[in-house]
Parts: sequence; C-alpha cells; structure tokens
Amino acid sequence: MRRLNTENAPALTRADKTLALVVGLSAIGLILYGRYTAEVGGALIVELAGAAPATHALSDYGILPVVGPLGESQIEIAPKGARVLSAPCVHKICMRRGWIQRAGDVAACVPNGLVLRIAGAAPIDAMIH
Amino acid sequence: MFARPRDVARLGLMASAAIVLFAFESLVPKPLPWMKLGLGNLPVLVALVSFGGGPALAVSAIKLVVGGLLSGGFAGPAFVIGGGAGLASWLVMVAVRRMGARLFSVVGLSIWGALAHQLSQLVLATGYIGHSGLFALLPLALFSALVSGGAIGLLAWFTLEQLAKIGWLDQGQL
Repeated sequence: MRRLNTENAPALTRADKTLALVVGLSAIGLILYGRYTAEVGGALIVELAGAAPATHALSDYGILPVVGPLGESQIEIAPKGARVLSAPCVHKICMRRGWIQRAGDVAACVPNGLVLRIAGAAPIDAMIH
Repeated sequence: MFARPRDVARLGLMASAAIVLFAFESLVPKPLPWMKLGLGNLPVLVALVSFGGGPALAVSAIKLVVGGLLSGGFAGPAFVIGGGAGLASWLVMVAVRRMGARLFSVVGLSIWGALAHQLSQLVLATGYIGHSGLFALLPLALFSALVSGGAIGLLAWFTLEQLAKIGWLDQGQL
C-alpha cells in the first residue's frame, strides 16, 4: 500500500479522477436529458411577490389577471400550456418567454414580481437524507 | 475482532466521534432538508481504512442507533432509509477496497460510498413514497455524492495523515 505523504495534498489516483469525471458528466448528461424529455406538467404555480403561491390546473383554460406592484399582468392557460399574455413591464421578457408547459419550466416577470412555474403531476415536497 | 486492546479503545473513540459529528451536523442549518455533508461518515471511513470492514460497520451501526435515539427519529422512515443507505455505502466501500486498495485513494473510496448512499437512499425513499418521481433528483444526487464524497474523502485523508503522525496507523496503512 502507498506510504503516507505528509507534505503534499492527497495524491489522487487515476481511478479517483476517472470516477469523479464520470459521476460529474453523468449528472450533467442527466440534467440535459431531463431538459428534453421532461413530462408535460400538470399545474401552473403562480407566485406573486408578497403573496402565497397559487396553483392552477393546466387543464383549467382561461385568462387569469394578477395584479403586481406595476399593475395587472394577464396569464393565459390554454392547451399549449401557460403564458404571460400581457404585462405592464417595460421589456416584456415574460411575454417573450412564450408558452411554458413542461415540468420545471419557468416564466418570470421580475419588475412586476411575478413568477410562473410548471409543476409535474406529482410534485416533490421533501426528501430525507 | 481485534488482536490488541488499544484498537478497541480507538474504535470506541471513532464511534463517539461519529455520534458527535452526526449530532453536530443536525444542528447546522441546511439550505435544503436533504443537503448535508455527512460528517458522521468521516469516522466510518477512517475506521474502514485503519481497522477494516467489520469495525467500520460497527462504527456506522453505532452512529445510526445512537444518532437515531438522539434525534428522536429512531425506527422512523429517516432511520430506515439512513440505515439502508449506510449499509449500502459500507458494502460498496468494502467491495471497492477489496478490489484493490491502491486503485482508489481514500477520496475515491469516499466518493464510491457517497454514490451508494445517495442512490440507495433514492431507491428506499421511492419505496416509501410509492412512486418514482424522486428519480428526478438523480442528477442532484450524483452531484452531491461527488461534492460530499469528495469533501469527506479529503477530510479523511488529512485525518488519517495526522493519525499516522501520532502512530495510530501501522506503517503504510493508508
């Protein structure tokens, strides 16, 4: 077995580095894979600054007005998913985000304090270590 | 299990260190409920390298039982999941060490253990909850295995190095 080297930092073996690389790359790969194959979400979570998040079923089509610090934003829920239909902000980035429908998708309007999030059919709320 | 009485004393020290670290870590605020470094595994790893598989399992089991009693979660879901994950982690680390002690350093060994811990935890938690939604956390589990396993491995390395300086380890045991 290897002798202790008391002067240097840990001498990582080639196998150590390979293992770390494989684990890191598979995590990144899985994230990318998840991006493209994420399930179509079941619910829209609307978070407005200073208010409790509200959940709307994505099957509940219609137009949803919400009022933030800048004024009224309109959210549309349709078969394509959800989108910000109109917004009082200057840049309209939230509207340009377009339709969101996959679990984990987010559309946000920072100036008006609005965040739209798509939740999966079975959201995770806790895990134990 | 031991030829020398001093090893028994040392193992007791390892077990109590594991319990203290486990209890200490449960007091530290966590950004997310399952995000923790697993400091309690440091003595398990040190015991594995300096004493071998059996003693490491003993340290792990003592940590689990006393830690469970201290945190009030004894025999609860967290206890079962943590225990199963601890066992899986031990099994994998012993197997990797059998494969060849020179192949992986303590850091690599620790990453293997953390991987086994994270993955078996996901499987056990899925069993408890009854659906596979938790596997969405797989990338996160891999990342945290890499980070926590790496960090604990480095800590174990420095710990073993210091222990060697004061004559704990037999020559060339690391």
